Amino acid sequence: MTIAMRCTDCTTITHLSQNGFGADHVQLSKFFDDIVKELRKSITLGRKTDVLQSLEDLFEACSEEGWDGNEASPITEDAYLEARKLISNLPINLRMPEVVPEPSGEIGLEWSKGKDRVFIVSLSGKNEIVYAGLFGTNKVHGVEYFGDALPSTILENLRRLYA
Amino acid sequence: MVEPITPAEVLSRFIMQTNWYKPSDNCARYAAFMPNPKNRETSVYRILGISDKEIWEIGDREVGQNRGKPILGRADVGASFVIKKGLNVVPSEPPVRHANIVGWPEEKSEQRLIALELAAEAIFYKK
Repeated sequence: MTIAMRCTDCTTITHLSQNGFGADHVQLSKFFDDIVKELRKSITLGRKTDVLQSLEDLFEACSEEGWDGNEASPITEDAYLEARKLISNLPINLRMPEVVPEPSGEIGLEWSKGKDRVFIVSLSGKNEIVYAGLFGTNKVHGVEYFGDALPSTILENLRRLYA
Repeated sequence: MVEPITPAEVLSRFIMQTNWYKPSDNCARYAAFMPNPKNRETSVYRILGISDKEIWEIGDREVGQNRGKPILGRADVGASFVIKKGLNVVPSEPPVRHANIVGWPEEKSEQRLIALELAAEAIFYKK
């Protein structure tokens, strides 16, 4: 009888086995890591990772009062976590937004298709999404509750932007 | 006495945040026009009748140096457009040529929509 055993250190597409030593192994590991990094960048997951990294950078840069050189409120951890949750909840077939710090201490996520076709959501960490959009001469704005899932209004507006 | 602002005037909003303009589309983002959270005013400069060089000098001297950050660009918008959106522009000197966009609505989503419209209407100049 053959017993199936879980391999805890097997080489997979994103993991190189640690069974090795010496300069060649170190070099090979680095080479492997670079390939995995590039692979991740080339797929949707990579774009999401890039946006999450931009969000983290923004949080670090704007977490003190007056980060704009004036009187901007600090970006709160709650706003950061909520923005992270929203980005993580975005369907993979949607374009990724640009992250924008707002002077009020909220985090904006912006999708644009030209100067007068823009949709933004703003997050403060209070379980609500404040949104506004310009679709040529048409405009929308409002507030939606943000629980576990992305509200359908937000998804509809994003699809409208890229239609 | 400071002259009241006329609809024919052009207002300059100086930008010091890299993520408040889009280099790809060469335009300002909405956040550049969002009001100061403490007083709900957006600080601008009246630039009618002065040269491009003078405008940048005002930005460097009155905004960049005061805040210890370099000016990265500016977004110019007509006072008539600002007024059309239900806002008002009031002179606020010193410094010379300084004014504030006031009358922002309380509702956050409406504020952002107006800021989006101002950004879409404005002409952005990178420094």
